[in-house]
Amino acid sequence: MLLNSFFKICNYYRENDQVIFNIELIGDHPLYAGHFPDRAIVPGVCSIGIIKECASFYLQKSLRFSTLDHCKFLKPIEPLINKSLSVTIKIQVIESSTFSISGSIFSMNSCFVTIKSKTIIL
Amino acid sequence: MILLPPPIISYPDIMQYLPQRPPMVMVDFYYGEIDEEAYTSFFIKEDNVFVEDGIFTEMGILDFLAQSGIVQMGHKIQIPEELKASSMGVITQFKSFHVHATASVGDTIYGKVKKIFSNAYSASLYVTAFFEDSILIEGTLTAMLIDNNRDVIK
Repeated sequence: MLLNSFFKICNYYRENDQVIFNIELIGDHPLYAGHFPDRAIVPGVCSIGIIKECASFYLQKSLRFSTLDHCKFLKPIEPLINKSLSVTIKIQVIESSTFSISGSIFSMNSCFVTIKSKTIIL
Repeated sequence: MILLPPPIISYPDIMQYLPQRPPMVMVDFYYGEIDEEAYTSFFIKEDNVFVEDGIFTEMGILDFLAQSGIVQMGHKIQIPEELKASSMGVITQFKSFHVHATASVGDTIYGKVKKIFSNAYSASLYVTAFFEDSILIEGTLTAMLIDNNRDVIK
């Protein structure tokens, strides 16, 4: 839903047990008209959606969160300022259709969001 | 799901309690509190930004719950005068959320907000989204007023 309309993946690579994506936000997405009119900020739910969709892209499977054990929004993401971001995810298989996904969104100087979750295959 | 009274705040008046504007407003009605639990509702339209293939995704339901919490906070908490001009309510944390199901276009979903803790600047809320008698999503969120001129959430 968000991939290629709200953000795009520039490249990705594995590093130890993590996958790191370099992404770019698409700053003219229509939702910014309402979030917020005076200051565009990535909605918190979209930032965790970005992490889920990066995992989905890597696994080549449609995923849905089953639990969000912990999700912390540390700093607002402003698409006009923070256009280029990195997403790191760590995926563990719990059962054949359930994955544990930990992840974060960060730039060179800042960590914006961290999550610890479980997802199921749709 | 209990029988709710008529709403006390409806769209578009509900926007006085939310920083979001269309297409990101995800609450239609606020029904006030019954036994210390506040209730909201939202009708899912086909053109909602969180609808994909007719399904209102868990992202949309989470945003509905977050906005339900902000409306409840805004209605209950007296924001200090010195903060009104420069602050906005934001969600800083989701904790122990369980996603049981999603909703569909044409559904009206309901939100229930139960305060765990609050002061003038923040609140911890247990929130539940329902469709008919089924729980869709439930968990605890933390909302906070932040200074709009600073970007770090403490």
